[in-house]
Amino acid sequence: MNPIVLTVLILAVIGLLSGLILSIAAIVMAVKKDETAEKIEGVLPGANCGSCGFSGCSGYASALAKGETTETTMCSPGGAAVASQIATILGVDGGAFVQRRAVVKCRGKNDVTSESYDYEGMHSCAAANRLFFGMGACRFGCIGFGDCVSVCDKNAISVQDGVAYIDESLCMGCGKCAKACPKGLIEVIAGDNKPSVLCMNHDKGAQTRKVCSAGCIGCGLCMKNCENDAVKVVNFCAHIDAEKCIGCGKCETVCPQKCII
Amino acid sequence: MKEMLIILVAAILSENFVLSKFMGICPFLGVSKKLSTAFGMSCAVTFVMVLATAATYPIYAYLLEPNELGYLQTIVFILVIATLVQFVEIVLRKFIPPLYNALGIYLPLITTNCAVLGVTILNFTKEFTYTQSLVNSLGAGLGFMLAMVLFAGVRSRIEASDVPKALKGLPITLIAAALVSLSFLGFSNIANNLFK
Repeated sequence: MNPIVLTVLILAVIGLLSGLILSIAAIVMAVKKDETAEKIEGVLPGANCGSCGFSGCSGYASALAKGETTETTMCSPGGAAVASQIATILGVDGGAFVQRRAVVKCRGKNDVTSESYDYEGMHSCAAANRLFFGMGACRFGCIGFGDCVSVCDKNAISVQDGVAYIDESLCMGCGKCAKACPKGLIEVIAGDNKPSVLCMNHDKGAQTRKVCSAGCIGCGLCMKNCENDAVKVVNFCAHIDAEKCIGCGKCETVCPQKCII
Repeated sequence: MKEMLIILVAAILSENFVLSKFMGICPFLGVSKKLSTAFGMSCAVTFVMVLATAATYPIYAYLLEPNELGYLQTIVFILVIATLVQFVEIVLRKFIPPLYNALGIYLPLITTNCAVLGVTILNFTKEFTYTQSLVNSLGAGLGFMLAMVLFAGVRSRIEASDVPKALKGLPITLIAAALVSLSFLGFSNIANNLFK
């Protein structure tokens, strides 16, 4: 046989056989996928950030489709648009979506606090935290090497004067930074205008004053002035219960340290 | 038996596919950041290498060679290996979902990986028999695994150390890869002398 014809023939036959085998296999051994889950996954942003609490977008989609969860508003990056789309696919009333945002609960900038030792080592909060809770005088405060900066997908975080700063207009509330912070200083809260206590120092007031002039001293003025019983001082540090808080702002005005904002 | 051992050890150490033949560098640099993914990827590569050799050897020996069409091997092998990997993926997804979840994401990555194609073609260059080819493929896969796992360890050390800014990222990774490759030169001729 003509070698050219043979070459073409062999290649064509092998190619044809391969295609045939694959298409038959795909039909015979097809695995049924949940159509609802696929639709929901198509709507989700695909960032796989995990802020919904499931393993990525597909995990959330299949949980919704199987009815393991009925919360349609858990996708922070997607926002209200995605929440309503999911609710439409599932045919349920999803409820109102509240955009969440992350806050750094420390105001210990370089001008109000100091360092207790010179740190020379890996440029990482996690590493510095292992050495006597970091070089900051306050052992609860922001170290400022920016472990949170590097995990943020939206570049919303920057370190300014030794404290992480989150740009609210860019933050989508995924909570990756909260997981990265070795001090647990970052909290994801509802993005309404309710105040939060921007200090995590749980030492007594006198000790707090020694290390930082912007820290919560646990004086309790906020607690006394709150009409809704939303503020509690536990271990010399104030906490605001977001569910009880009505956002009146009285605690903000009475705080002598101005650490409720 | 001795001959098989020589082939196996040579394929793993002295003729390591990644570190002395420089094949499969893409997954070597891309997937070696974490030990678990490196191991998963190399398991998939080993599996596909042996499977690809088992499938392509008869095609070459009984179809291409007798018709003097040896030059077609590259394109035919790519076709066959790609089909095979896709087929295996479908079978795994249907019948062994746990294995699919473990290897699944790596399988499409290696359909036309040069290390896989390389081992099937080199088997003929070295004029191996069918059994020898299978052993050589297994060795090549295990060698790939060894390189990946070793390098994943090296990389985790690099991640934790203070690298000069100019070398951060890929440059230092390539330098480290070169050093690991150099160290594998020490294994040259080990296989022949080991089983004397």
